[in-house]
Amino acid sequence: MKDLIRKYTGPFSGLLAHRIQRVTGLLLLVYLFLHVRTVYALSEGPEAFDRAVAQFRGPVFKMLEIALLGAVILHALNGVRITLIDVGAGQTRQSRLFWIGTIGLGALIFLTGAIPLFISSVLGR
Amino acid sequence: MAAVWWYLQRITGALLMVLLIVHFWVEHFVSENLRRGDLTYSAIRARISNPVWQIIDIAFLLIALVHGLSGARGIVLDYSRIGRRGARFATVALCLIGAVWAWWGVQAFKHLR
Repeated sequence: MKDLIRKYTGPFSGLLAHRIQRVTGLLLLVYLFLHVRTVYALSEGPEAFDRAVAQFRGPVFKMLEIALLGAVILHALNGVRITLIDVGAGQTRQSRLFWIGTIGLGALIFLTGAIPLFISSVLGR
Repeated sequence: MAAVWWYLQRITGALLMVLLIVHFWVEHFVSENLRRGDLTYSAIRARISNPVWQIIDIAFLLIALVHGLSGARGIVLDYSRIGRRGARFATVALCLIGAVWAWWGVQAFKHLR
């Protein structure tokens, strides 16, 4: 019981992680809608699909793509953290799990993908 | 009933991580064209003509919809005071949205088979 109370009132209540999970979750749902909309063009033949994809080649969409990568990584790693805590792992180390596991590891994976993507598609080198 | 949703969210979440990595890999890394970001109709058709990929892609869409709409349901129920009947209505509405959405997505395959 004491552990349970500390889980919600400690120095790290998980509120930030909770909000990140909800905001990124909703954004990903919006993305899924747009994604299905684009993929639907497959049913209208090769020209329609290739035209639909061509509109995403500009630098603005590439930046949004990089943001998408960030949202996916945050949501996935935070989801792993939530599931670990649910099965009883790391209950007393939630704060460290969040800052190292979600934010730290997430930033590392994000930069590994985002930097080459930015150089090749936004700067066009 | 709530426990079923809770449990499904973990299971589908874990499945989505695997499926998303596979999806990302086959659409962006398996050939020189794809690595350049040249995702074309013919490249997708070559992959989708294999029925195993059709099953994987449709399953991916369905699992993503269950996870995403179930998450949206949690948000709706948390931030609204709609009572038990309202909650049931929200659940049914989201299920209907999911069914239409899934049907819409599967239409993409109809000329690729």
